[in-house]
Amino acid sequence: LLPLAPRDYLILFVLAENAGHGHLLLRRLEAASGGLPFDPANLYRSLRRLEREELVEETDDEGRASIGPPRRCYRLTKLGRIVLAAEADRLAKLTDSARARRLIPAPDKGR
Amino acid sequence: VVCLLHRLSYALYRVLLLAYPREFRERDGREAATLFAEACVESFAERRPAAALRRQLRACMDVPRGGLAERLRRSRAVDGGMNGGIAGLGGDLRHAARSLRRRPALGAGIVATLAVAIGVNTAMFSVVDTFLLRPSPYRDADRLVVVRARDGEPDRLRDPTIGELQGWMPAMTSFERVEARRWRSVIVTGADHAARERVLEVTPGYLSTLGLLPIAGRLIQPADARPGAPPVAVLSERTWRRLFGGRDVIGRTIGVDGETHTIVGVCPEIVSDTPGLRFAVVAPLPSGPEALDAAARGIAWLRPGVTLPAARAELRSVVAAFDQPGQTVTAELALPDNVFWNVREFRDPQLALTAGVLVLLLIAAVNVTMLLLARGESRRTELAVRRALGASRRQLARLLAIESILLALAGGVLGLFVALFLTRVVASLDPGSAQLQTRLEIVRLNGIAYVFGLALALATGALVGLLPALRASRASEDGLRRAADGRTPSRRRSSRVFVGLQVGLCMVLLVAATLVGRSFLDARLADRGFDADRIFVLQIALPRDTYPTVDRRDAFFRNVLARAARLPGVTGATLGYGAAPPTDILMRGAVQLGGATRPDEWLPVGFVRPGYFDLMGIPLVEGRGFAARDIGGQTAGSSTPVVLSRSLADSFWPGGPAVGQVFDLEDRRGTRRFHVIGIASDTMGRGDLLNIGCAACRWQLYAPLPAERQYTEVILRLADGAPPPIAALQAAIRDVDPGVPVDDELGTAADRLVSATRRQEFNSLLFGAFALLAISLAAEGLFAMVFQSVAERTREMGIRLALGARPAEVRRLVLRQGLLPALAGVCAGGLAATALARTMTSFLYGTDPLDAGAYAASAALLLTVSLAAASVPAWRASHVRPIDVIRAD
Repeated sequence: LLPLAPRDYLILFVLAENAGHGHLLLRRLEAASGGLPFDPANLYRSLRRLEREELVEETDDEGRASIGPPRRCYRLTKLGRIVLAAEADRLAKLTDSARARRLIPAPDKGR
Repeated sequence: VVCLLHRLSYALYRVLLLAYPREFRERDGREAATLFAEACVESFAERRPAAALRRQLRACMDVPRGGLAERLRRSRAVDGGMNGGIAGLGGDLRHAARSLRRRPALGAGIVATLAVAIGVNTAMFSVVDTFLLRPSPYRDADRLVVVRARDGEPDRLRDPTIGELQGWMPAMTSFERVEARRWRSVIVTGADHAARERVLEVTPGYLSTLGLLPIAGRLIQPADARPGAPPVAVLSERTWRRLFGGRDVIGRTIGVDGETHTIVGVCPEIVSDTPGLRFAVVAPLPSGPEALDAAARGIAWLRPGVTLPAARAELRSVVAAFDQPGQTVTAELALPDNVFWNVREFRDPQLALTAGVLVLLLIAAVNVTMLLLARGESRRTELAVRRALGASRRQLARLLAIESILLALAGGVLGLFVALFLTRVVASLDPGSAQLQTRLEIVRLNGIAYVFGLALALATGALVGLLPALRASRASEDGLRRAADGRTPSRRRSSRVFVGLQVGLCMVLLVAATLVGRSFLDARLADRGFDADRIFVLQIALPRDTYPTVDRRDAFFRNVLARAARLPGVTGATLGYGAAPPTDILMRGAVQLGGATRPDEWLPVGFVRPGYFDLMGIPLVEGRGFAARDIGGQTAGSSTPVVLSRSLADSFWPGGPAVGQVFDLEDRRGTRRFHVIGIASDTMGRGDLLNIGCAACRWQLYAPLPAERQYTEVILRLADGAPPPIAALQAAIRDVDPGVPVDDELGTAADRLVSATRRQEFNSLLFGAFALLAISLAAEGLFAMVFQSVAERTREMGIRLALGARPAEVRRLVLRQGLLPALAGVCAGGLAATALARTMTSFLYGTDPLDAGAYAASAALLLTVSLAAASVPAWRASHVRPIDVIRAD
């Protein structure tokens, strides 16, 4: 499964903090990617794929809104968490090697 | 505003989502659209709402791309898995093969139909390609022009003399190269026996410029053409094989009209720019000063980029500079005749045949469509079950398409075998004309035709396969329900239209075939006007070198005639020239009839001896035949006695007496006067066979045979039923002089007439074959249609029978169903045929294109075949046992 596509990594990353439904995910993805808007359909497409790869699963809507249609919530599976960790580790090593060759300056806070 | 924006963006997003597969839309579409709409609304709350909104819009441009990716992924995923009992491509193929095996008859029918259609089509394409699309086998043939000359008169083109060519050509800048050639008939000796052949005399560069390479030895070289050089000859491949059996001949000698030539090489067959001539021997054109007045045809290659009009203009100005007082010679450039397109007598039937083949292909396509539709129809239940089990429409369509492409491929491969066979058959046919023969012999199935056939098979498969696939794949739960019901929806109307169409096309072909066949029979069975079966003709050409004088020729012929008359079974013998119909000697010129002038007449002429009319069995209607005093003794300016055929006399002097009349014929050689001494009844002429303006087709002029002819026909009258004494006659002639060539083609006048009808035979054979194929295809289609509808209505028939219908009534019902479209097709086809037949008049030798008999016979035949095709299913329908139907329910 590794390396993860950047978008999948981001999705797993925001889901790792907290399970959430589409709207929440979209907001957090936007924030995590530095303000770039995310296309909802593609989000769902990615979620479906991650679901098939058993990295993500659907859960009951916990923070259910009082009005509006029911929304599906997603959270990381155990496998998803392991894959995310492995990917983060891989990225960290990449960043380290880049730093060792002085491609990026100071040892700062990773992402 | 917020609400409006929400709705708008939601709607926009839903539209964009159409790029995604339906399944995705149903599951996540609404949520995704809601999210998008909310994001849009929220962007209002930001500091720069417009920019935020723009960013959102840019984001949603990703939707179509994602949708496409999703569709692709799904199709891959679906193909990989077992879904509805259908696996991937390999599985599809296996499946298709299995389902074809399960219904071998239907599959075999489709394959056979396609094979025949594609085979015939490919073969025809090869022939058309050889005759029409490939005008010349020679190098740079598209730049090749013929130089001819004329003396003042506008219509009399002649070949320029060698001297003229030598004068004009150096000044020409339009020509890259100029060669000259002429041909003449000669007697070739040196092989096993003397033979009459044509020799082609050429300038040294002629053969190599045409692109010919020697098969053995060398071609003619400039040194061979110098005055005083030893005479050499190059044999054509055909002659080499025929006269010398393909042995090593380089260095041997042959006699060409008595002159000894050394054979230096063998070259491929030369197809002349004069259609239909074969050349046995190629020799250098004499180049000495004595040859300057001999005429030879100039063959020039235009420089690349020079147009024909430009070259024409230059030639005209160059030639004008050579003008001498009182004599105007102009030159003309023509395209060589061997662009076979010009051969009208062949082109028209060929085009008609091509049209016939296309009609056949159309019928076959309609047939295959019907068979495939019937297949799809009969599998509706199976497909509905598959659909219900989860196979997608696409998968079902693909399965069916693969099946039909498989069938088409099988048909295509088989069709190419058919084409190979047919091409060989066509190449071996005798079209009754040397010029066609030379071309037919080079007809080969070419690669383009091969690919054409295969592509045709696949295209037919894909196209024809698509329709049933689309129909069948639409099978839904509805179809399943109906399938479970034991009933299938009927599409009888469209198949009825197909059958009608087919029968109609068939009718057109059949009428054409009947007309051509009838004209062929007409030509064969027509009254020949003389005792054709008892007249035997032998053509003799005397070598010029051994028979230089009239006396010697006379002695030879007297001797031969005396021996021939003594042969068993021979009751009479005479000499003639062009005297045995069909004659091919024509006099052309302006005819002066008293006051009236006919500017351009073609008069077939036969030169005969006294006693000719009695011997031939041609009755004299008026006047007398030739007597001994009419032969010879004509001095210049005196009048020649002639006998005219009835139709010619009627044309010259309608209603009036012809005997005793005088007329003049003026042609290039001057004016000659003729006086009519008798009228003979009409005989069948070449015109009857070729239909050259049929008013004149039985014109014949008989003139006395002068003594000094080099070519002469020996005409024998045989006793009733006696076999022609061919061997004895040949022996007799060899006995008199072994150096005289005896024509290989010996036969009675009837045989000669028959061989002149070979072309009709050729045409009617091909047309007949097409019509037969078309009929069998149409019968197959009709059978399939009626059979299918009976199968569909088994239940109905059972109920009818159970309710008391008599089997005969059921039979009639089914028959009517099959025959009505056939009848409609016959009527429509007959109408179409009347329109088309008018275009066929040029090769319907004297047969009316609207001949009612042909139409009636075609219609009767088609209806009979239709009846037969429909009666099998009808019989089956009337034998449905009601109990089976009820049990099946």
